[in-house]
This record gives sequence, C-alpha cells and structure tokens, in this order.
Amino acid sequence: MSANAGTPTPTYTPKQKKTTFLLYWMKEWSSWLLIIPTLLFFFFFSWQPLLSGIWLSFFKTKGFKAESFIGFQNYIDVITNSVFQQTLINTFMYVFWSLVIGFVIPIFVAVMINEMRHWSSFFRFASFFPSMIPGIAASLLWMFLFEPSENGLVNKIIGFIGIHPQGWLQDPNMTIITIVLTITWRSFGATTLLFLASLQGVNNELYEAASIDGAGIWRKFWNITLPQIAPLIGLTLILQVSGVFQIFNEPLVLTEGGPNNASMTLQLQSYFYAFRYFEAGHSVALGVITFIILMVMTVYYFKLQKKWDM
Amino acid sequence: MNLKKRNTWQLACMMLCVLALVISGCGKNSNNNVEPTATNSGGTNTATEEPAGDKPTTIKVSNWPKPNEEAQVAMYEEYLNKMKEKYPFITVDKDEWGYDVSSFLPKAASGELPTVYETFFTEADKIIKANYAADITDIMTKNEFDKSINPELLKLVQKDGKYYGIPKDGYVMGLMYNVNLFKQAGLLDDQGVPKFPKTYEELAVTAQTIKEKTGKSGFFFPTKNNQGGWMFMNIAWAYGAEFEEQVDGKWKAVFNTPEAAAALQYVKDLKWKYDVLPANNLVDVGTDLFQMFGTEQVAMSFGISDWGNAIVQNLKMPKDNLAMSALPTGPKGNATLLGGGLYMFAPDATPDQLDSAFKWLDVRGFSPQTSEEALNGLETQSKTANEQNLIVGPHGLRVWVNEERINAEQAILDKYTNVNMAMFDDYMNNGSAGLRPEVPVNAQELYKTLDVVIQAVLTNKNADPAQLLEKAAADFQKDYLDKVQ
Repeated sequence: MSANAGTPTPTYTPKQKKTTFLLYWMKEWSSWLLIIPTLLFFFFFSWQPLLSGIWLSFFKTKGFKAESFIGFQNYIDVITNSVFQQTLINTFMYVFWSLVIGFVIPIFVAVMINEMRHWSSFFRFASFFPSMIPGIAASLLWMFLFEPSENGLVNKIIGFIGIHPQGWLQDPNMTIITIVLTITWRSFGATTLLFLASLQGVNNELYEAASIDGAGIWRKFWNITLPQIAPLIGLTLILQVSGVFQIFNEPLVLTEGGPNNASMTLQLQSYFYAFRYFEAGHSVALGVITFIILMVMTVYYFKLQKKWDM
Repeated sequence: MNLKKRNTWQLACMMLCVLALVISGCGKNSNNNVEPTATNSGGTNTATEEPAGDKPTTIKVSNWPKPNEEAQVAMYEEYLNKMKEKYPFITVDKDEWGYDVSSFLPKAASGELPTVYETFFTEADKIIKANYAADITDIMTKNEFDKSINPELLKLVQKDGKYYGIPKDGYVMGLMYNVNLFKQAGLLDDQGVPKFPKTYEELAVTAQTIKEKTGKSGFFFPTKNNQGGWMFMNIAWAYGAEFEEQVDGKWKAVFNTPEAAAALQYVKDLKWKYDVLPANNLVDVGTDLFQMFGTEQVAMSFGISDWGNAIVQNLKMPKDNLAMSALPTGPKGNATLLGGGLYMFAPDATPDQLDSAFKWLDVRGFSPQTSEEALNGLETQSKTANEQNLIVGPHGLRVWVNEERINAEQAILDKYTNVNMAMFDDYMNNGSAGLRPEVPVNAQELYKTLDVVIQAVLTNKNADPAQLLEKAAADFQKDYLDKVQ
C-alpha cells in the first residue's frame, strides 16, 4: 500500500483500463476459488428455486410443470379467493401479537440475567432450553397442555383460581394469541442470548460515570442501556416481523388454520395450495405476494431508520 | 509474506479438493437416482435362470409395511418369496412410503414415485390431471381387468377413455361401535351385539346414554384435514341436501338449502344440545379417532372396515371390541359415501416395469383370475392376518363383478374368519343402501369449505347454520365452481 502511494498515477487508455481491471480480478483468483462453492450452493439451493418460483407463478401449472403462460391470473385467483383477506389480516395479527407479547420479553430477561451476580449461567441455559426442542414436538406438547376440556392441564390450573375452562386454540378469538404464546416460549431464548451479548459489550465506565452523577437505575436503563443496544433492537424487530409473517409450522400442527380459518396464515394457505390441491401456480403466487409485502415493509423500515439517524 | 503466500496456496489446494469432492458427490448421487428406474444391474440373476424373453426388471412397490407391523411384514415376505420363485428376473424394491398429501407432490415432481403405488378414490382426479399416473389402458385390457372390475368404480380412474389406475378395494361408510363401552352403558342385546341406532335421532340419544352411563364421549366427528366435510356428506345427503348441480353446462353450488342447514343443525346439536362430542373440536381420523376409539374414550364414529385393524394393530385394542352397522337413516332415507383405494403407476414406468408391476399384483392375489394359484396371495393375506390376531371376516365393497371370483374370495375369507360376524352383519348386508359417489368437481376444496363451517358451529354456540352455508356456498361458487372449464 505505502509503496504505491509515491508513484504517479499513469493515465490509461480505455483498453488498458480494461486489462488492468481484468488483471485486478485475476490477481484475486484464489479468493474467487474460495467463494465458488458458496456461490454454487447459493445458486442451486437459494437463487435458482427462488427465481424459478417467481417464473412459475405466471404459468398455469400441471403438478410442478408449467403448462401455459397466463400472466397475472394466478395472482388474481389468489387475491380474490374469499379467504385471502382474512388470511392476510390474520398474518398481521400474528405479527402484532408477537410484538406485543414477545418483543419486550427477551430484552427484559437479558437485562435481568445480565444483572445477576449468581446463577446467571443457569438462567441463560434455562431460557435457551426451549429453543432446543424440535418445533413439531413442542407444538404437540402445547396441544396437550391447551386441551380445551376441564381435564386440560392449563384449564385445570386456571380452575384452581376459579376461572372457567377456556377454548384456547379452539376459540376463534384466542387462537392466534395462544399460538403466539407458544412461539414466544420457544424462541425468546435465542434472542435473549443476542441481547445478553450486546449488553455485555456496553462499557461499564458509562454506568460508573452515571452513578457518580447520581443517576438512578431507570435513568441508567433509559439513557445508557437502551441506546447502546438500540441497533440490535432494530435488527431483531425486522427479523421478528419477517419471521412471524411467514409463520407456518405452529398453526399447521396446532390448528390446521382453524377454527373457521381463524388462525390461517399466508404461508399455511400456500402450503395447502401446493400439497393439498396440487396447485403449484397458486402456491408460488401467494409466496411471491408474501415476499413483496415483506420487502415493502423492510424497505420502509430502513427509510424510517435513516430518518431517525439523521 | 512467504508464509502467508504458502498458506493461501494450501488453502486454495484444499478448497480445490473439497470442490472436487462435492462435484464427485453430485455425480454419485445422480447415478443413484438413475439406478432404481434402470433395468436390473444385479449379478445374481444369471441368464440361465431366466425364461427366454423376460428382461431383468426392477420395480419399486409402495406401502411396504414398517418393521413394527409384524403381520404385514410376514405377509409381504411371503409375497416376495413367491415372486422370486415365479419371476426370478424381477427385482422388487421395498418402499415404506405410502400416499400422503404432503410428500406426494415432491416425490412425483422429482420422478421418485414407486412403480406401483396406492392411493385413494378422492385423489384420483387431481393425480390424473397433474399427469402423475401412467396410462395403463393397454395392459389393463390385456389382463382383462377392464371387464372384471365394477364399471362404476372404473369410471373413477378413466379420463378421455383411458385408464390411469385400478380400483383395489371399495368401502362404504358405516358406524363403528366400541363394544366394551356399549356393554358398560348396558346397550348390548342378548347376543352381546350393540343395539344399533336406526336413525340419526336415535344415534344422538344413544350417544347421550353412553355419556351419562360411562362419562365417555358418545360420538366422534372429525373436523379438520378435510375430513369434516367428507363425513358431513353422509348426514347431509340423508337429510336431503345436494352439493353440486350442473345447469346448462355450468356447475352450481347448491348446499345453501334448508335441508343442508338441518343437517348442519344436527351436527351443532351433537355439541350443544346433546353434548356427546369430545371436548377437543379440532380432530381428525388418523390420530385422534384411532387413539380415542382404541383407548375407549369414544363409543361411536363413522368408519370403514379397514380402520378396525389399524386400531387393533397400533393401539392393541382387542379384535372383538369392534362392531359395525350401516349408517342411520335420515329424514330423506339412506345415504352413504362410496370410497376406496386405488393402485396407480409411476408416469415414467417402462412397459416392462408395468408388466412386472402387474405380475406383482397377481402374486398378491389381485387379479381377475379365479384359479387356486391366482388366489394363493389372497389366502396368504387372510391366513397371516388370522395368525396375527387381526380382524378377519368383514370386508368392504368388492371391486370385482365376476361372480365366480367373488365366491372364491368369500370361501377363503370364511375359512379364516375369527370374529363374531353378528357384529358386522348389519354393515355387510345393509351398508350399501343409498350408495353415493363423491361430488364430481373440486371435492377436496368442498370438504375444506365444509370443515370450516363445521368448526364454526362446534366452536360458536350462536352460529347460524343457514347463514354459514349461504356464505360457504357463495364462496365455493366464486372460488372454484366459476372457474371450472
């Protein structure tokens, strides 16, 4: 680097420019070689299926084979389907409730664990433990717990304090909230670990200085802790919104989208299109719609963030 | 610097090796994929063993029993031995995969379907439409299946005059009874046979008695996996409802009638008036019904004769704990849904493979022939089931129309019958009254639509059946029937 600094920059003709450009890339050939496996992997397992999915969504399909080009007909069919509107609203409700119920918990738990003098490694493990249980197994477990009769475990417990047995998953008004509860239980541990790592990176001197200035515990939290972990909060927000927006496993196992389509989601509907009715075109069209909605939301979020930063 | 350079080189070399490995791995894989469909490469079958003109062939057979299904494993091993003896040039590959909505499509799209696979009447239409079943018209005519099988059933696998599958068994929906619970409730007659309810009204009252006497649910009604709609058909037809009608070449959804509403009201009453259904409202047959029935949590359910053995085998229910009757009569008479299983064949199977697959069916005793040798496979089936203490005796709807074939089959069945047939007489004799095939257009989608309606009346005490059906019919019309060409 330093050797180059002294030499005068020669002027290039376009042809020379091209060769140097090529040479520059050629010089890094070993790096390219290193990237190739990853590139191939991404190409065959991510990009190619993604693009062929989008391509397929414009065709009338027979099984997974494209039959004839039909433009946006698949999209029109999917959107005008009488359950689409409810499904879309449901999906947003999942996101809403997951933010209300699940967003603060990891931050809260991480701060608590971070403050602990003893047992902190135990609690760290304990909060991550549910994440190690396979999703389907965990869902089945919850299904038994939320059994709607008087003999369901949860109903028995609330029976002790005099509350009537609830329908839980089978009550159209509660089913989404119940499902979100089970997801939160399963996934908050991983996010907690992220926040913990971030918290431990906060410079202790800041707290000390604040203490000297007489700041209380809340003041320290609002003015030091939160701003320090704010970037991670933003990141987990996006991850959570896009993750929950594609929710599929839990409603499939717990309710199959019922009762009365109250827990149906876009991805579950897309799965039904493909595997229950063999309509691959409709299925990928719905997938693309989900993708576009998420894309728009993410772009909008980044725009907002830029505004805040300025 | 030097060291760094050397490291880069080493890394690059390593990566090259890895890349080479990956590529060779891919190559190997693709070879593997070809193998099952290619002609047999095994060296065991030397030319001297083979009859002239029989090319070595490999076929893959679906629904191979899993190791824990001892009875079936024994049966299939027996078939395999016979196959080796009779047709040494055919290699049979075992595939435990059985038809399943979530795995069928990936398997079919990737060309991995077994040469011969089993599926259900309900699926035939969409499989044929998606081109995932081989055209077997020639070989079916050659083997005279087309003349020996019930033409009504053959219609299910026909499209544009060609055959795409073989109906392997048929069934009519009946009522299953858990005999032990009926005994506890004092509902057995002097012969020890449950007192079968004759009307839907009686069914509800019987279920109520069970609930009062035993505390267990009287009746099971599935509500998800499209099974709710599927079962609801039986009740609705008996109440005089219809679902689809063709007017001037256009399909119309016609289940927004008072008859359909009355049938739905009946289902609603089972929950809110009689309170005889399980507390869990989101249930299906394969897991919930089998578990509940096998562990004496529920006394009655719609069902078919095959389910009995699934429960006996998987939940160790005693084989004598099952009785079956015809479905109850509704205000407009009897109605029962016709269903059944099919054999279908991989769309990329070669003529040789199809021929071998038919030979396999022949060894299993599935052929129009009535010779003793041809029925050997059937005998194996009944004999093994009997030895393994499964229910032998009751049978579903027969696919054959050939009188001789039916009698021969019945003779074998009689020989190995091991249950009190009085428990099944009503089902066997009266079960077919009011037989109805599935609706012709978008049956699965209709079931899903009805699932939703049924879930609504079971979870909401104030739901209005007529209003729900009005909306469901309008939606079904708009989403599906309007798009039928």
